[in-house]
Amino acid sequence: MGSSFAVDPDRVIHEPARLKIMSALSVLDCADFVYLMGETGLTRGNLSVQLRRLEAAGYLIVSKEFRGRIPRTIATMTDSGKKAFKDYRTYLRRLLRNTSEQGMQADDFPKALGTNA
Amino acid sequence: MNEIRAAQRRAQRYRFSDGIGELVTGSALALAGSGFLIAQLLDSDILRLVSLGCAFALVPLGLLTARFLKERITYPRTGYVRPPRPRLTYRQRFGLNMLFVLVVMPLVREYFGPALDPDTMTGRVAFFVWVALMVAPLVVMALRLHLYRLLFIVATALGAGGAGLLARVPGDATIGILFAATGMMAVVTGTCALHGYLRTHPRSELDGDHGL
Repeated sequence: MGSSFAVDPDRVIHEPARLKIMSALSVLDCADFVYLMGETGLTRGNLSVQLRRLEAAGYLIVSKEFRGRIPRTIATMTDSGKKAFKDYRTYLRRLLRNTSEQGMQADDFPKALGTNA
Repeated sequence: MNEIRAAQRRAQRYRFSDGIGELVTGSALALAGSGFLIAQLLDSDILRLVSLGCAFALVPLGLLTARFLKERITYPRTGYVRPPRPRLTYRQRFGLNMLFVLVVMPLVREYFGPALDPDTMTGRVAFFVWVALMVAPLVVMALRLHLYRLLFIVATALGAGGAGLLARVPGDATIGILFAATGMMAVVTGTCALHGYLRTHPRSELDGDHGL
C-alpha cells in the first residue's frame, strides 16, 4: 500500500454533503442558506446540521443578518477551513496519482480510505 | 475531484446566471455609445464631454441598479452569494486607474500621438488591438465558466471595431458604434438569460431563509 494512504482524509470534509458545501464556499466570499440549499440539494434540516458540524470544526462562521424584515443566514469559510479544504484536495490528488501508478482496482478504495464498502 | 471542480465552477458562474449584470452594463454602454454617436453627428464638443461624464457616472449608477435588481429578483429565488474580494482594494484600483489616465495616456499621446491618431490606419489598427485586449478577459471567462453567450458580446465588439476600421469611420463615431453595438448585444443576451432564469426559478414560497 502506498504511503499516501497512511494519512486519513479529514473526516469532517470527507462526508459528501459537507464536501459540497466546502467546494461551493471555497470560491466565494460567503453564501446564504438558500443558495447552499439549492447548490447541495440538501433539506433545510440536513443542511442546518452539516453547517453546525463545519462550524464546530472551525471551518465556517455562520452569522445571521436581516435585509429589511427578512432573515439571512450567511456562511463564510474561515482561514482554517480554507487550509483544511486545500489539504483535502492535495490528499485526493495524491491518492489518485498513487492509485494510477499502482494500478489499483476500484475495490481497493474503501480499504485504502479506511471505510466500509 | 471533478465533482469538486464542477461545484466550484457553478459557484463562480452563479452571479452571471440571472443576466442582470449584462443587462445593466449593456444599457450603460449603449447609452454612452449613443451619446458619442450623437455628439459626432452634431459635431458638438460639449455633448462629447457630457457623454464622457455620463459614461463615468453610469459606473456607480449601474452597480447600484444591479444590486437593487439582484436584491429583488435573484436573492429571494436562489439565494445570496458574495464573490471573493478582489486582490486589490478599491483605493488601489482607483489609484491605478488614475495613474493610467493622468500619466500613461498623456505619455503615450506625447510619444505616439500622430501615429495613434484615430483617423490614420495605424491608429485604427491600434484601436482594434485595444478592443481585442479589452475583450480578451471576457473570452477567458466565457470558456472557463462555460458562459458561451458572452462570446456573442465579444464577437459584436470585435465586429463593430473591425467595421469601424474597414469603413474608415471617424474615431469618435467608431467608439460610439463599438459601445452602442456591444451594449445592445449585452442587453439582448442579458434579457435572454434573465428570461430563462425567471422561467426556471419561480419565487421561493419561504418568507426568509429558515436557516439555523
